[in-house]
Amino acid sequence: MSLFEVASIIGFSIVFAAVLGLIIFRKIVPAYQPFIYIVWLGLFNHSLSLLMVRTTGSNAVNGNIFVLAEALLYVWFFSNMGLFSKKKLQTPILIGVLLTAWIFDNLIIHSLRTPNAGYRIVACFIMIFIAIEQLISLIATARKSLVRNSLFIICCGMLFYFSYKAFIEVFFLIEVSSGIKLITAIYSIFVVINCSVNLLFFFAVLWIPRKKQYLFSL
Amino acid sequence: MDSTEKTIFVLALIAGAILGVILLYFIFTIVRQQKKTRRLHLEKMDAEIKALERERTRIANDLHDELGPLLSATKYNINAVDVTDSSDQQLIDKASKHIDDSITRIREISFDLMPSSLQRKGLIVTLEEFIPKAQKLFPVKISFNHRGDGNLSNEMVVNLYRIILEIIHNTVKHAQATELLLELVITDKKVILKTKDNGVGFNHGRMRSESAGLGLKNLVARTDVMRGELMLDSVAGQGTSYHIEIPL
Repeated sequence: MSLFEVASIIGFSIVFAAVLGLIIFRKIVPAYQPFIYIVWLGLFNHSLSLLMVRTTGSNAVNGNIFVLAEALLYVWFFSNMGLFSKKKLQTPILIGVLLTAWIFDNLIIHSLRTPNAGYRIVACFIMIFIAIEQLISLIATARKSLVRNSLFIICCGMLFYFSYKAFIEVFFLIEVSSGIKLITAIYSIFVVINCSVNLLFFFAVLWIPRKKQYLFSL
Repeated sequence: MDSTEKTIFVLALIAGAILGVILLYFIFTIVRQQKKTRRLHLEKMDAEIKALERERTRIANDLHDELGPLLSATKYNINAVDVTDSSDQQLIDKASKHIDDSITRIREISFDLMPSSLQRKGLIVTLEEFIPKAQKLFPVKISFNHRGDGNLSNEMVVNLYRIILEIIHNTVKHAQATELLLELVITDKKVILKTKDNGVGFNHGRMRSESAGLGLKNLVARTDVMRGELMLDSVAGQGTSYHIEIPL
């Protein structure tokens, strides 16, 4: 079995979180809904990528759009979590930086039809900083153990996912064109990380607070 | 892969492993630090609540045991004065009435600070005594149901009493409710307090973004020190429900 086939199958590990999200969507605290959208978007993009690779030979276009949509949804989600509530300008600034970097990398410097690593690295760093900010804030605000805290699990998953994604994207950025086998081997590390984070997100969705059992957190 | 690529791949693997270890260490540190912060926070709240209750008890006892008898003695002495003038007698009667009012008010303040019945007769009896008084004072109909009569510690009794008082206060002051249902269930393993009012309710999101009131923080703090859980369900226009569970 080729790495592409393995990655295709393992990529569908997000389906567990997506199906669970569908079941509990109406029962959860509405502030968590953007995270369910992120999970669904991940599943949709993975399916679309497979289709695009089979039909056009490249998933660059949908991949480039997906990374922008994913980052914006994360900003929305953390805004709902109150992470930016004390600095009102933080949300528009983050959205502005993400949009500018995306337009610059995908429309001005490069084409939307090529996988562009520049924006992805910028977005990864922003996502990592957001996750760290939220984790530090949880130290002071979480009233229960963090192990079953959905927000904590989401941040941990983001930290792993985006750290390794930034690490992998560097290889695409410097275009090690001579070593396609090397790139493939390095990408295999990311496939394992992606699968682990997808399973972690299943537990994050499982432990999202329910509406009727709203735990008041001050 | 040629030998250079193999070297790059091995280096990438090592770098990835180091990154993984750093991230894991960071996450474990966060979990450990949160546990420590949580423990310190609970200890601080526990100490603050105990100090507050101790001070309330002391003031209540001083008022009830020292000022009360002193005023009674004063009244007795005033009434013992033999006067012939009717205007003097009126003055004495008036002073005696003021002293009676003062004694009654001191008893009320003392009860508000720390009901003596709370430790002598327990939570249920104190609430059964308090609720009719509250209904006379506030325009709200309170239905109180209870089941079970476990052996609760003094601290827990005081905390539960304060929580119920705070909920009644919130219902009257903020919820503008006309009915309040209170249900207290005491089993061998836990205490469950459920309340529901028919008031105006409030919006969770707004409550979270704005600084929550002191009363609500008090409820959370007292629930926390008893290692309990407070669940709140409120929708604007549809009333407010509290569900508090305290493990025994």
